[in-house]
Amino acid sequence: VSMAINVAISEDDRQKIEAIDWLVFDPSQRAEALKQANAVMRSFILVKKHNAAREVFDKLPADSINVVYKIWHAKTGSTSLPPADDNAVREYMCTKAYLDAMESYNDWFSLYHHSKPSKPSSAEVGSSFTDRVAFEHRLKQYDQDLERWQYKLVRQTQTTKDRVYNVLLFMDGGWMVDRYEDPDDEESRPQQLATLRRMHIPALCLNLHHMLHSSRLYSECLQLADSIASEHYQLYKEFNKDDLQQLLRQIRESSLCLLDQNKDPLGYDLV
Amino acid sequence: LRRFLASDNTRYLSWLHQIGAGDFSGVHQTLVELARAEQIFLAKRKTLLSLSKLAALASDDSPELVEPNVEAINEELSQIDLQETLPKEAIQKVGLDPDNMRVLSASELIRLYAGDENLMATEVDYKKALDLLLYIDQAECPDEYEELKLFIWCQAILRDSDRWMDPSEKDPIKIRNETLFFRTVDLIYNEGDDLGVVLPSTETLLDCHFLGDLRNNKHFQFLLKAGYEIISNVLLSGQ
Repeated sequence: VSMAINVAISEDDRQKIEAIDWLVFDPSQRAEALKQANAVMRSFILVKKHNAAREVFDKLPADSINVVYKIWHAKTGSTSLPPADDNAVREYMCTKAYLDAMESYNDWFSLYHHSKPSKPSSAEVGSSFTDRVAFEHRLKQYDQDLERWQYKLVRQTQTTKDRVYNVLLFMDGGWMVDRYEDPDDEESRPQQLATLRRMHIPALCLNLHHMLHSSRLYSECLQLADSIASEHYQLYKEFNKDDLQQLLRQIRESSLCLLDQNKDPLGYDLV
Repeated sequence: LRRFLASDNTRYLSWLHQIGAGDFSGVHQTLVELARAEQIFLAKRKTLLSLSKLAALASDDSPELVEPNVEAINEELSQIDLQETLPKEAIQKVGLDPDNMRVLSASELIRLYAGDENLMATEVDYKKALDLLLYIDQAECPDEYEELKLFIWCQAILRDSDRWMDPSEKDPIKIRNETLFFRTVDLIYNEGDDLGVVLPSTETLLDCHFLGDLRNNKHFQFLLKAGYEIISNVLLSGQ
């Protein structure tokens, strides 16, 4: 398990990102801009260029969904979008949920693995009085830093957990799943959505497990299985056998930690 | 070691050993047995079943073997789902903590969904109660099955007993559209279930002790029979 690598942005990518500027210029074209931006972000996320996808995302004005609804309503009097536009709005929200989750996880990862304050070593303490005073001062500083770090970590863990579950349990049928079939959809789009699910859902689950386990939230590690096995969300269908075996091995590690705490393997008190 | 782990009080550990050994088919089997024995914590039973399902899918067993096992687990998970979505007030009324429930039996769930504890019951709750009949073994205990089925329908009628008995209610179509009983019938029909199987005849209902004095009420009898007539016309025209 590691941090999501951000693959560097090439000159070609740069052009694709800049092109979005031209599309958002005219509000009446916003639905089209949304679809184009989605396609570019999709292609970036498929190759793990999360930074590039975020840049595209930021180019779309925040009120874009509203604009799409308004223009459609003005044109037809209807408040429900045609399938193609509805799918585009939904994909845009799925992309946002995913980028938020990944960035939050990366923040957690660097906070947990790279920002922990290190304890001052007592080896350097000489015999002199000033040395000892200085050491005690540093020790006190360390305790404060550690407390602050732990507080930040707990909050970051909670935020990241919410955001990852936000993707895993995406409302109305799941992440990157269209609500309506669009007969005019380009052939490649449904396939790309399916690939995104297959690529990222198992990885997100394993990342979530890593974070919960590192945070000693072992019971929650076990309960992760509830969401993955659920028929409602069907996350398990994105896992192949190896993924599932790896997941179960990871969950086993959490169970062993619970046993060490004199609980049963699922974290319940022993009777 | 395997024999030691198979003994009774260490069984709950053996699946951890089986994961370590890569025996996922064994993990599935052990966990599903532990889940079925778990009566104290609903949430624990759910996690045991979920893990067991994942283990079945991770195993090298053939799909012909895995599919029915997963299907069986899904049915048990659906029952847990029906307990989790019980209205909180109904759960609290019988002295249980909604966030920490024991495992309730299908007949207990039916009584909670359809019974007086569920103050704000809608046709969706009555549909769920009828869905739960699936978990009552009809061949093993046919009397209990029939009794629960009648209980659900009679409770639905009793919810509107004032209206059924109100002499100013002269329009069967209105009653047919607005009472919980007939709204439940509609919901079942619209979801494609076979009304002929689920819905008791008027004779059976009017014979049923659950209805108390209401069953002798002439006005009620008239409205109920008229409603049935409207339904059967719709069913015939639909065919």
